[in-house]
Amino acid sequence: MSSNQNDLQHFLKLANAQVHHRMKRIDDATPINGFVTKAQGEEMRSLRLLEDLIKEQGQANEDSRTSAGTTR
Amino acid sequence: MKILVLQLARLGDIYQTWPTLSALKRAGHEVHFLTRAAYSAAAPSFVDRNWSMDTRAILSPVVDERPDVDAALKALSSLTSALRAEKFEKIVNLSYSPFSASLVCDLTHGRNLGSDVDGGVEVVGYTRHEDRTLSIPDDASAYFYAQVGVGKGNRLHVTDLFAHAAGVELVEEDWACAKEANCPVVSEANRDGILVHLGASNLSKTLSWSKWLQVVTKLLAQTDAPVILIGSQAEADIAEKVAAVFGSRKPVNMVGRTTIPELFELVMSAQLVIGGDSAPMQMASLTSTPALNLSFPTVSMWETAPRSSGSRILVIESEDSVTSDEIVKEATAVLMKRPPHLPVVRVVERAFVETKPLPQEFEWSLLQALYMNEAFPLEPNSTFSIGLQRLAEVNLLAIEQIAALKKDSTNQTAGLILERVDDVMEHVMQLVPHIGPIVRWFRVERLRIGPMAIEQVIAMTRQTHTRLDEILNLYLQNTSEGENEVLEQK
Repeated sequence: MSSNQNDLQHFLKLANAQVHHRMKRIDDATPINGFVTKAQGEEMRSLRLLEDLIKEQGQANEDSRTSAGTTR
Repeated sequence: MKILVLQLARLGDIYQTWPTLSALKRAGHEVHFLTRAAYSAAAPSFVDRNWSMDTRAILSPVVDERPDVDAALKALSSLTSALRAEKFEKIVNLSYSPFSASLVCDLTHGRNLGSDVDGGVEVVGYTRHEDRTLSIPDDASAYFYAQVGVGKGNRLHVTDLFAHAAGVELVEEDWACAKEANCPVVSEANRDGILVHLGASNLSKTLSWSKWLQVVTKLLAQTDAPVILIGSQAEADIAEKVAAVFGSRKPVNMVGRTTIPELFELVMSAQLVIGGDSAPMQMASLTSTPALNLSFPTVSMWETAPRSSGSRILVIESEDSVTSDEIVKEATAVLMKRPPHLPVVRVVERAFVETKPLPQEFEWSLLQALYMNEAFPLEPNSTFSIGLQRLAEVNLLAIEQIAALKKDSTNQTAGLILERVDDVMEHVMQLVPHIGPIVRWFRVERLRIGPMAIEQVIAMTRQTHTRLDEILNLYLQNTSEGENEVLEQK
């Protein structure tokens, strides 16, 4: 793996950690009965989508044969 | 109907989606097309609207020592909100990737999937259940998930699978959907050229530069046509080495000097394209340009080879299994419309015609039986029968555990044994690759059981195991009847 790819992997891991932190914040703010506000629900959904995009990007860079996540 | 088609893979897949888009337009639908921004230049102009997802713009705020998640979310939601506002009646996801499944799930959130009531949206291709597990609503996409890929025996072309998933039947007009434009890169000198594509998305899908050098040298010596090198900027170094060929005639080096539409125009104006499995081959299918495709073991020619009539596919184990003389001889045979010199696969009216049988014929027959109501093929060997017997035994064990779970859904031992059943099936498949189509079919059918009440999950899982049992018995009954006959004779 080139140093550029290593850097990218490092940043993607950082980004993933941030996304997880935000998700946990919403989870912690959710009362025991499990109800979330509409805004919280939408933010959680967006965060999960971003998480999947980061994950796919990471995999695409680790394995150049995974075409779907490539950005060039 | 207002339809969104997603194709978030690369250039080759986008071009392989064109005929489906054309057929959807021909059927009178309003067609929107979503690609990644990096490849949006390959999107066709005949759809009603092209959308692009700029992955780089979305992710750049978070690719930083201090990731700005809000900025990334804003960029992502500006696209998803705009797409949601379109209120598509149908979403056809032909990307077959994990992220695209999540995106479709997000776009359809809160709408009645598969419902014909106002606000409902029909989904084809991967999406996700509310618990984020993968959902494969249609059979064509289930086939794609289970059986498409190198070494799996599939012989359905990706272009045809896309059309089947989208519910359209392709006609010749859908293949010939590319319209010629006046493009400055195609000067008179570059018309009717022989295009040589040196690169591929993966180096294992093409020749080494030294072998290309030999091919280009001989093409220049044995033909009068201009020989034009094509490829992306990433292949510029290789192109320079090949362009430095010794001799009075030189190739035209266009590598890294064309935009995607310009490359398309070059393919359209050429008399032959030579290369590995890559986007120019898919372009050739749409421009009816004959191609000589060098197909390596890292790809499945059945799935992605060019479909333009007159094309030939040379299936090779490695570049050492064919000489540059043979490649050039075959190329000139294509140009002169002469019979093949090598055991190539020919393309006749968009179909592949083998000149000698290719491997995995049995697997393909088995796939046709499982999915296309064809007759089940005869057992290829005794190992196959032994593999089926082991599968049947482990399947019976699974059915017993399901019965135990039906009585007591908290039975942990039954759950643990069921998990091991998957491992055993995987091992049997590795030992007996001929049974691969059956195991893959079974696994995906079980995966398609969505989240629901535990009683329903148990019932549907049992149903899937029973269907597997029925298929296995088709063979095993014959085997036991044959054994009985032998015993009776004794």
